[in-house]
Amino acid sequence: MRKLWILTWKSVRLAFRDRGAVVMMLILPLVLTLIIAAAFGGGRASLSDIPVLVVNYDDGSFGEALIQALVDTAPLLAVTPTADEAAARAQVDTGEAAALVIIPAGLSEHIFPFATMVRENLGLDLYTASGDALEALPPEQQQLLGQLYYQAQTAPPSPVTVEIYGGREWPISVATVRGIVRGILERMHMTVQGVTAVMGTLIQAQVAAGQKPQVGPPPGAVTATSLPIHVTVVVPRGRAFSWLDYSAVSMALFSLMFTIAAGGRALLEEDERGTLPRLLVTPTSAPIIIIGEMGGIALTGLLQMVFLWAATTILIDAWWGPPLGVAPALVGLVLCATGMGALITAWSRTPRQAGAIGMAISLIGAAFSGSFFPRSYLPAWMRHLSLITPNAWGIELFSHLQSGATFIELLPWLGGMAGITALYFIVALVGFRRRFA
Amino acid sequence: MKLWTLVRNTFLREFDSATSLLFFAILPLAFTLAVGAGMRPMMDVSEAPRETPIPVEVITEDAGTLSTAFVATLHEMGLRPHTVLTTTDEAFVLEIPPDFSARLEAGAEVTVTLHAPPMEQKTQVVEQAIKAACGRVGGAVLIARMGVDQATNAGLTSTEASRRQFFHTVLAETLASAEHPSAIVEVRWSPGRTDLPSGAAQSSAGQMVTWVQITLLSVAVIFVEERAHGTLQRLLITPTRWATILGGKLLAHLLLGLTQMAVLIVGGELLFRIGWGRSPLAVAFVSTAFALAMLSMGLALAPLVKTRGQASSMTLGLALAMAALGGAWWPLEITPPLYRQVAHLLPTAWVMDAYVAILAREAPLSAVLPQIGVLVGFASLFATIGVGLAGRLRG
Repeated sequence: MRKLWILTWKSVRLAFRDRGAVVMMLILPLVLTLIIAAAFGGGRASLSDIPVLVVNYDDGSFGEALIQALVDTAPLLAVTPTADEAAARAQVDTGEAAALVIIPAGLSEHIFPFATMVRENLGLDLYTASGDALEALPPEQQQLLGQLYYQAQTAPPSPVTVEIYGGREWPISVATVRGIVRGILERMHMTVQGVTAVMGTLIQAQVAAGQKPQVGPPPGAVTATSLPIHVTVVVPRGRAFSWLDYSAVSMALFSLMFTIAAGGRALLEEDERGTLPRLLVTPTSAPIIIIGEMGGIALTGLLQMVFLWAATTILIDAWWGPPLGVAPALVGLVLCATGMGALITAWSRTPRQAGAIGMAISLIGAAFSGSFFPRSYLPAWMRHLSLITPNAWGIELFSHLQSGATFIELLPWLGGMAGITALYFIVALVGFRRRFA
Repeated sequence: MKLWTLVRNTFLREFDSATSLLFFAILPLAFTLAVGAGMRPMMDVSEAPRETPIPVEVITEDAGTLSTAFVATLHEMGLRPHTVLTTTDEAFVLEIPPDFSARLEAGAEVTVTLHAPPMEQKTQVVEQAIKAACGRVGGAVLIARMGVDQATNAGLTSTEASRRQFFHTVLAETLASAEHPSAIVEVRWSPGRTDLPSGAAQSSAGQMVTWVQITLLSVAVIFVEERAHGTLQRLLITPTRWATILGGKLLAHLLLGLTQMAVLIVGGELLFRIGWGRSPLAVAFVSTAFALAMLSMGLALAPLVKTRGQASSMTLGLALAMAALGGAWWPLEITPPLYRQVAHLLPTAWVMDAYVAILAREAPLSAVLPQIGVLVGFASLFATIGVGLAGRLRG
């Protein structure tokens, strides 16, 4: 047992004495996690200050209202009204602005055609007219008003197009602007249609009650802040998805695989330098030496993961899951990764080959398992195929821990990881036997 | 001749085993595939209806008109609502209060609750869709309420039944009007390729930047290794000038980096149809300027590290960190303004700006001259530092 511990501790000391290894094990994953946290605002994608230009050709009030509603979305959009469409298009062409919203002439007429008809036929501005002004209209004009209302309802103009001139370098921002403009136009349209419906229903009710039809002032407008239905999002347990939590784990796993691969290479270097054969002639069996060396690699990986768990939790409030679940999961995961490291070491001919294959597997495993973006974004075939790597099992296991899964719910993932770990070690054992026969 | 021998030796060393090819081309292309696939959902901004609407379980005991209208609107917003009695933690659950319709009719506010599965990445999409439905139905409710007030003031709706009738008439007409919008939104894209750049395009440019950085910064590893093994000192006692040795090694790595870029561009074009060939001159100048910047950085780093292990870790760590920060792993447009400003202190952000412009709008050479200028500036700065410190490499 003492021999085992000496061999294990020797590997750990060697790993942590190497400044380059410390950078890869502890500094790099922490830096990458911090970069990801900064990029995604700590949790969710954080679009903001999207540069948007607006040209307004509408001479009614809806064009101005649209601009104001866009301005009110700050800080998401940084809106700049402009009169020079050609210059604005040029700014989008060069990528300086994400999009140009072109409010067409006649937008107000299309949204509220009744108002235009009333202005043209009666010289009355419905946007500003008071109830008294409408009531003061002579009977023949009241009748004309009714006819115009009927006409506006039965023959609405074809929809007008608000163009968004989108910059090709800003596809995600343009899609966001499109959604916002569409929402504002829908609220405007529904306000007008609703007001028109109110007026029509009022007139009908007045006629039915034997009263003289009278049109009162428009009842008001719908704004995004005045809506009576609200949404709250709750997560029953654990935490809602956060890039920060996800990346803290995935980047730690990414670097764990490098550590394990480097450990395997170091073992083969000992073989090449002759220190391993010298050990083998001492009264120490080969299995003890191999277990001791691999134990050192596993302990190094475990210390690395514990450091990253503590550092990301303390420094950036990342959540890996409940500590009682995280601790055994880390042990299981490090064993799984060590199994992969043992497999590579056992079947590589030279340290250089072990290093290259180890790094290749670490990188490929990270990319195909979803270390750099949410795993659910990957195609199903890639998600399934990646389950041959420790990275995929680790990400799945910790995602479940972060989501507050119970022990029973974790069992399939723990079982699967135990199975693949056993497989790695069995194949590695065959390789070691062949190597040290 | 000596220069050519140094270049040849570097290439022979670089490709002395099959694993070299793995890092030179196969892994970068595999990364392009994986990262491109992962980015697809983020970069897909087409207006095509979602192929598979997201299922949402609805719990409600309210069978009123407003509740029914609200659930129907969820369909139009790309969700697939279905009423259930019991739920699990694995699904999106929308809880509509039993007095939803009654409260809205009475002029009160209501809150619907979306129970999102933990760590579910589509939560934001579902939340936005529900908010859109709230906007449509809530807006109609607001208008109908205002109408009722107006009718009541005019003495036309004196009873509760008549007020309700008035409310529902206006509500139905307002909701129906949403199907015939008076204004539509159309996106027209600035001039460029016919299709929008995909996740694969961002991934191809980003992965090329990541991997070529590793290759070019590795010039530091080569110098450290040669110093450690004494081969550099041995070369120096031959009748070969230090400048020739330094120049030969740098030229060899520059050619190596440019060859890798060419391989990845051709590979990306053949495998993923990225569209690199649309502004070849711009691609060539941007790539060369970036390669020079990275090579100079590698030269500047070489005298600062002592061992091969330190040099390897530093180059790999720097390459990954600069790639992540500079927009090679995700588009800079989705990051906060401060992040974008900090990112532009690095060559990677400038080269990604240029590549995105080339791939997105087929920017010609003249359009990416500012980025090329900045990259050449970085190259000059690092080269000055590197040449100043190069004496240390001689040992």
